[in-house]
Amino acid sequence: MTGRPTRASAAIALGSSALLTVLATTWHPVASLAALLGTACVAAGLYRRSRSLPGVGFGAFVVAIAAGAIAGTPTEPVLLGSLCAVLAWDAGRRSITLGVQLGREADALRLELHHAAASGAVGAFSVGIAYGLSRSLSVALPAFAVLLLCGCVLALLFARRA
Amino acid sequence: MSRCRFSVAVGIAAALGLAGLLGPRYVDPTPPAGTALVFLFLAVGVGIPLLFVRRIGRETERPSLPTPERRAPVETPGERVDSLLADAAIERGRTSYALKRLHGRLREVAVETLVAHGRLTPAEATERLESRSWTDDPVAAAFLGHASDDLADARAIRDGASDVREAVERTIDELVRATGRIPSREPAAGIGRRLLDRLRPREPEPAGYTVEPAEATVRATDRWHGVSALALVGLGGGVAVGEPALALVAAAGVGYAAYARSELGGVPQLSATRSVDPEEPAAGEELTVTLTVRNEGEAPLPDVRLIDGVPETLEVVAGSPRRGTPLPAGGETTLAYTVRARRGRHGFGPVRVLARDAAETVEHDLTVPAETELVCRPESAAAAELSLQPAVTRFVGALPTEAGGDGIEFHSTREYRRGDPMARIDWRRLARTRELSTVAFREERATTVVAVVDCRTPAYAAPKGGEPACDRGVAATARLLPALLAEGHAVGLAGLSPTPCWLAPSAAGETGPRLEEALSTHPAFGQRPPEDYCDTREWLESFRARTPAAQVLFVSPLRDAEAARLARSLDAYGYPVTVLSPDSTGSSTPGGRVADLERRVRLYDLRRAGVRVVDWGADDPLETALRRATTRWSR
Repeated sequence: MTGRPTRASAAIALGSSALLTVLATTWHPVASLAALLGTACVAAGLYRRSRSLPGVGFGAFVVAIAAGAIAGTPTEPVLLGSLCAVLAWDAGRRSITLGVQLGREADALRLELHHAAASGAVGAFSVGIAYGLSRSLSVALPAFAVLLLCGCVLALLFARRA
Repeated sequence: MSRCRFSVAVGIAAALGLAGLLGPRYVDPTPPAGTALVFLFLAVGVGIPLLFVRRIGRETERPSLPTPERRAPVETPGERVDSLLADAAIERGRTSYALKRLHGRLREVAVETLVAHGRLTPAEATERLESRSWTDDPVAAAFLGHASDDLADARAIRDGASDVREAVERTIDELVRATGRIPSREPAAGIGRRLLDRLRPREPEPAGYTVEPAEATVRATDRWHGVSALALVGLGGGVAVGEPALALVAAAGVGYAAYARSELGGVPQLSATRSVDPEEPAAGEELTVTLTVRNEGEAPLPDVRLIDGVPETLEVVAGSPRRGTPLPAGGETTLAYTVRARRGRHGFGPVRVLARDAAETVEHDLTVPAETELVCRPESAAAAELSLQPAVTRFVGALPTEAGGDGIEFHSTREYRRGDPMARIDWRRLARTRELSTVAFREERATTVVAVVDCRTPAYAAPKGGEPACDRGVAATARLLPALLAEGHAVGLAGLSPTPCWLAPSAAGETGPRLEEALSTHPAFGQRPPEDYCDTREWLESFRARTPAAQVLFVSPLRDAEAARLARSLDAYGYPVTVLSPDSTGSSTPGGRVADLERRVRLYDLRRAGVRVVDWGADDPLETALRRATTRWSR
């Protein structure tokens, strides 16, 4: 029992981070810098078995996505980037937690793939619905965004209270 | 996350949204104002995630999990000295407590060494240390020449040696030289290696071997805390700068926040069965353990993590006793791994299960009962022969004695006495000299042997990665006693342990199986060190009351002075003693070298007192050690 992070989730985390970094190089220098920093944090978290480093990396990815969007990047790559950010964070942490609880030697491949598929599907589904709505509805953005904001805050508050 | 921080985050997002509503009137989103906005936004964008970051990485409670792959850790001889050395330092001109204790310990060892090898009294040895005349090395002489309290201005550390470690190593070198051997130590780690060691991730601490908790608990993992940062940043930013992409990013955040709310219903219902093949293994044999866990509930379990309750006394040699898998309703999973059997009785514990819901927000922590008991037969190795000391009882047996009488081997002749058997009259001599004389043969008689196995706490120490001395001792005893029984000796067994174990000497047929049974399953020879202290003086009194006369085979690693004292007391009370000492030292750290030095001084002392000693090295087969010792005794 070495406590080393599991392989499949670590590969998913690093792969997603790398994809986001590659995408960010075409956005804005600030975005690619932040994405690189985020990837480094995820990799260091996996090496040091630190559960907080992938979280810091996720923070950097959020900055990269925001910078990319503000710099006027088309919607689709930014959305793909945000999915990559969540997947990298989620899989990175799972890899470390599974490593601590079960170790790399234990068979946990089905579990890892199961979770990664579920996380990816949730992200793709929610982004897909929002994207579809925004394309089909011809509402001006500020009003739409404010509505969405209210909806999100309500959802989050509900989530906190329950 | 505290409600306060959450409100702050929501507040910032709302303010950004408001700014977005008013924004386009005051801010022209074309460059260079656009670039300025990027930086302004980044400041906020970093600020908000940072509010979450401290929570992002943390799962609220980390359960302490068993580490069944490894055997429970045992003490390594010298590890206390090593930890003292790691802490020893001179801080602001004052000697640290650890350095004082380390120094005191080395002084004791030095006195013992000089007393044994230099044939001095303790007072003379102390005087030699203080006058610094015991060695030519100025560093070692100065280090031990000082009193423990004023080491801070010890010249050894200030001038001669670069640091405390160097002074200690050189002192140990000199002490080893004083015993007539050549010192060898491991080279100190260079600065590059030390830096690398610091960067390397820490090995997980063994959290304990008992499978907790007693009852099922459930905890939140707080795993998705921080995903709301994505939603907030997206929303606020999207509104502020009028970028639709950012608002859509928020949708992903909201989707995950909703996902995190999906929970597993109720406590998982699981059952477990375990089988072991072969069911009655011999010690040293590898056995396959198969564990099947079944989901008895009606809901599927998306995330089940299992840790089998491998006894802490067994070591997993192949495979893993852990598994992570989803389990559909009525589904089961089977895992197999290999453990190496060890002597004695071992109990498998329940299976520890961590079950999470699909989004991993809630974790159920429970145990599933699956008790299995395993009894290992002792290793079926060939018996080993120990040559006993000459001693006398009334029974005929295989031990040659110094007394003349009936037997086979010629011993002496003496004057004929009325009643001597005709067959023993020396007829040739009568023919030659006309004198009647009788031939006496060397008598061979049986003796009584009691094996005393040291199973006190110090005997459970093991060199790094090696077997505990106590285990080797018990295994050796199990091989030596059958050979003695076969020669017709009465053989008994006593455990030097807080749990009394006593098998009266007997040469009867059932003694062999009884000895084997006791050595493999009696709690006195358990696999874990006893928790109580064993008073060797009391033990000796009860031993003497039970054993009027016998040869004693004392099996002990001689890790402490008490073991050596007991061997000498037994010898002094007239029991011919043979000490079989499995070596449990062996590391080349300073602590390991001190432990080795102390043990060698004890062996030397015992030999000088006339006690027979078999020094059984960690890598030697028992036969080699016995042969070497027998050659030494016959010289």
